[in-house]
Amino acid sequence: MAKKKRLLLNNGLLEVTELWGGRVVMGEIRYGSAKKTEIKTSIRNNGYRYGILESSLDMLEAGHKGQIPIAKAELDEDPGKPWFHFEDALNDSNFNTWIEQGSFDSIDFTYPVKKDERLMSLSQRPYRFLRFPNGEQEFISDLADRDISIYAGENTFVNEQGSAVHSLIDGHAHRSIYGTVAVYPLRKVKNIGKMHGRVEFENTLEVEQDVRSGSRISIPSNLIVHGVIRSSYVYVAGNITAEFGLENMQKLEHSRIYSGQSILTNSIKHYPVWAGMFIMVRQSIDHSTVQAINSIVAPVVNGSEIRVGTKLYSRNIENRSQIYLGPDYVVDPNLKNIKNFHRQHEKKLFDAFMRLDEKQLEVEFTKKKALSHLAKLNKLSKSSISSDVLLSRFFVNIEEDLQKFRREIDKCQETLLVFQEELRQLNFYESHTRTNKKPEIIVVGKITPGCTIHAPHQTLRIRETMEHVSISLNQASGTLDISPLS
Amino acid sequence: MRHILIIDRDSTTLNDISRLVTALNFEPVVLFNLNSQNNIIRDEIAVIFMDIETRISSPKDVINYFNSASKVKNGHRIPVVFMYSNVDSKLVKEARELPHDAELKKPFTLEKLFELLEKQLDLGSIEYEQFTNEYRLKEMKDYAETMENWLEKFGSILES
Repeated sequence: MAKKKRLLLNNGLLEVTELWGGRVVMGEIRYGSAKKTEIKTSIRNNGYRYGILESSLDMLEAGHKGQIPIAKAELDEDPGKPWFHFEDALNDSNFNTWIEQGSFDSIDFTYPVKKDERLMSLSQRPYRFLRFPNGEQEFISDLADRDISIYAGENTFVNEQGSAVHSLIDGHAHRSIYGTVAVYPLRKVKNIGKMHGRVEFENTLEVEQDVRSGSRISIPSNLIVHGVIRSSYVYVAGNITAEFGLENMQKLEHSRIYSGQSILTNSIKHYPVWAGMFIMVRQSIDHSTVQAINSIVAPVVNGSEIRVGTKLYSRNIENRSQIYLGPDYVVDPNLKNIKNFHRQHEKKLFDAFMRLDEKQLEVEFTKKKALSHLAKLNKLSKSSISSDVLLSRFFVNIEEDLQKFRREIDKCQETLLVFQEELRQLNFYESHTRTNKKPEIIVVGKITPGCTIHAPHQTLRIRETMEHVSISLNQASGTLDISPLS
Repeated sequence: MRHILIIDRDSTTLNDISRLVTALNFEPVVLFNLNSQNNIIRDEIAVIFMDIETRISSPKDVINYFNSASKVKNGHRIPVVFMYSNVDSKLVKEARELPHDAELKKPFTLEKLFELLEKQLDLGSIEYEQFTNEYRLKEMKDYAETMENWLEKFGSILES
């Protein structure tokens, strides 16, 4: 029995019908008309959030009469639960202790590891599931044989059992925001300055003093600076530790900090900063634009713009600071490129299967012709069959077609592997950015008037000082809930 | 079996059936004349929808081509659905004498079409695994292997 819902639009009525146990959802404008955005919002508000067929919504907007499929169930893969052993200290209980004690002395984002040390294993196996338009999931199959090597980056190896990734060398480990774990050897330098040009070592870099103004650092691992990073461009795939702070007092245009994982520092001043996981600041964030996909901890946020995916812990937020709360506000700048590549590979895969279909047809067609010719010859003697030129030609043609078909299969297999790895990376990114944790701002001191909190569907301007509050995001409605801290 | 064969000229019907079968993860294949039948792999077809009033091809020829005794003996029988709009038409009356599995009177709703497809495709027993790329690739590899074996036998006939 089809399940029907009637959704009232501003200027019409949309009837939604669920078929095949909710795997396919049909829509029909019963009367009136509606814009695509309005239809989309309406069906989303009624719980249909996945597998939306955009082209069908375009058709409804254009006035299509009758029913049309507007959403369908899609196959998806859960990448499993990878456990990064070198990050063991970064668990929820330790995190809460750091927050409660207000001390980050025991935090270490440099992750030194020894040769053969286990870096990563799966604590839950990957599996394939069917995601219904309303978000329900149906288990389809276990992907236990899925190769774990897609998590293994530079200087790592997969153990013989295929169950864990280990380090190949002594060095410093990190994982990317897409789940790949890598280890690089340590390289120590006294300081870095403009005169060093572009610093692009294939190492974890330890700087004994400062990174001076005008420097350009781009490394695939962790950066450890015992002094200050001043007005420089720093792009680090792993973690950044800058003991005395990040300062862009010269406000140079190219100065920015990108860390694929976490940042631990003393203070951030006038700097644009982006981090894939945590940003932990011992003192204050001053007049900076700071973004972190997971959480930010800073005792004082002063005149800054903060974009945070999950949690912001602070004592005081002051001086017209702007806070954007929720995962929609923090996106990896490289995500667009990766998604574009993935789309290109998806198209390539589609084309590869199309070519395989064509080649299969060619083989079948020649086979059919060969068989019908053979049937004609069947009444003749065996010798006349073996000496038939046309039959030999068919044999050669099919042989050649089959070889081409095999080559196409190999190409398709290669593309499929790349496609699967990208899918795994995107799923990993998605599962780590869309956690079950409720986005929240925890202020143990005060938020002063003039500060603003932005949520997808609400902007809260602080007009009176608020003390000791928790401001959380209601993800269903996109609005903010304010409650006193217990 | 991923293809749904549609023999019709009416664009509304073609679009409606195509949209629904695509949403069900099947692929619509449209046939405008009998000559292009050769470009279809019979084993890939799950259901045939045929307008029996269009005169694109005679229903008898189509049924004989896809469901002849020899083909049904070696493979599966493909369900055939007749579509029409005028129940009193002579063509419809004649076609109804032929073996077919269901009828669909135009115009129809997608809901009605779904009910029919659910029965003919036995959607309840469909395993979603078959819509994955790995499954498709495995099917292609199996096909290549089968063909190589066949080619070996074919070669031995030529050599003997």
